Amino acid sequence: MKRISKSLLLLVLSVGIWTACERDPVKDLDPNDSKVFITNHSNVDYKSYKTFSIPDSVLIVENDRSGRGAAVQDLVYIDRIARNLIANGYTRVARTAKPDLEVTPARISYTQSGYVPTYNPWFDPYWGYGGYGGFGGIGYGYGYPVFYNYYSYNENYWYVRIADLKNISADNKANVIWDAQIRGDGIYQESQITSLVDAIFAQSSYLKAN
Amino acid sequence: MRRLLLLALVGLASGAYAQQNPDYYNKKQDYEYRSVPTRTMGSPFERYTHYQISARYGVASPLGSLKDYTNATSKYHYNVSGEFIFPKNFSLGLQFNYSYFKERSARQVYTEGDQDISAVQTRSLGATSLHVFGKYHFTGSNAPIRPYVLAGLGGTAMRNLTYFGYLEEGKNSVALSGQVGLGARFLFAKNGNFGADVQATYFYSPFKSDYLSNVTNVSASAGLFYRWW
Repeated sequence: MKRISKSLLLLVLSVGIWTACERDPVKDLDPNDSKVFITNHSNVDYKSYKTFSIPDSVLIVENDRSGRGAAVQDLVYIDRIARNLIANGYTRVARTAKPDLEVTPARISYTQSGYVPTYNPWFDPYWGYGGYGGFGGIGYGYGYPVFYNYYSYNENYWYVRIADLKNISADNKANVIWDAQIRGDGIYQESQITSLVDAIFAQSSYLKAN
Repeated sequence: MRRLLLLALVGLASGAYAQQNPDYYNKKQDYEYRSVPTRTMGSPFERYTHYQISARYGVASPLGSLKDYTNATSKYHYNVSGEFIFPKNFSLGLQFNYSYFKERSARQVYTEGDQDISAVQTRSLGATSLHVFGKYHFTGSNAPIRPYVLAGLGGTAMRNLTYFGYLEEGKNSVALSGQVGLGARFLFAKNGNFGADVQATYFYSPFKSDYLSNVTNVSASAGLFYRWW
């Protein structure tokens, strides 16, 4: 009996040490370093467009709801996008003046939560729900009791999209020729927005009218 | 009365001491019983299969594709093991091991197809292994210094996460793994229960992910052990 309890103690100790020492790789990440700028472009000739229009409010998307927003930071965001495009040689016109490009600034927040069954104590349920995640191959095993784990994660980011109104396709659809996401800590702070918007244009040197 | 109590306490303590240390009396009486074989028998550690648990901490250095991925020495290398030590030179046990590697790059733009991502990238691998291992010891089980070689085989829960800022991309799976190593065990006292254990190991796992083609590292660790029978 004494021997059994000792091996049991060892087992409990090992599991305890394991969970205690599993480390969070981004716990020490500086808020400035947490900012991520993602841009997608297409192979169109960006010099073939001259004018653009941009609305005076941002599109707000929250899970499956959407609306318009014109808070101070939204206006700073719109203004900075417009200034960057103008500096790159494009002319801002009204939406009614048949612009070549339609710019859609947006603020997106997405929250997801729920319970997930875990079949294997070696499988970490929190893993796989991040922006890029996906379930790893052989994470599951059978014969273990099922654990239920609560998870919750949310994403908040700035988004901007530029659609091509000059070459509308036959089925009346406009192609998106550029889009960008700004993610990270503190992105909604008014003082930060100018430099954040400048950063997405700085990494898109092809986005110029001349 | 007080003095009597004190004397009684001393008497009890010496009795208890003698019980814990059979040699205390054995030595005194040795000349009287020299012909009795039981008195010349080895320690129970030499005669019976006994048990040992050890805990070690150390550093690990990545090799191969892991070095390309996280070129940094791991300060998080923990090791707990329990084993059966057989009277001859072999022992067999179970080992739990955790190693963690992490490296962060300065901000740069990562381009993939039409996508550009400007981010601070953090690359990490947490490897939690459970190995069955065998040891061959070069000296007897009660020798003050006991060098050994070991080989282990088992599974590793790999937590391979790559972060762009806080955006996480990764693979979490269980992979086959093994290790070979050499080490030595030092007893603190003759025939004692406690001692120190040092070990150097080479770890290999054929784990594959987008960033890794295998996981290889060398590690050095030191710690304490307790043995009993």
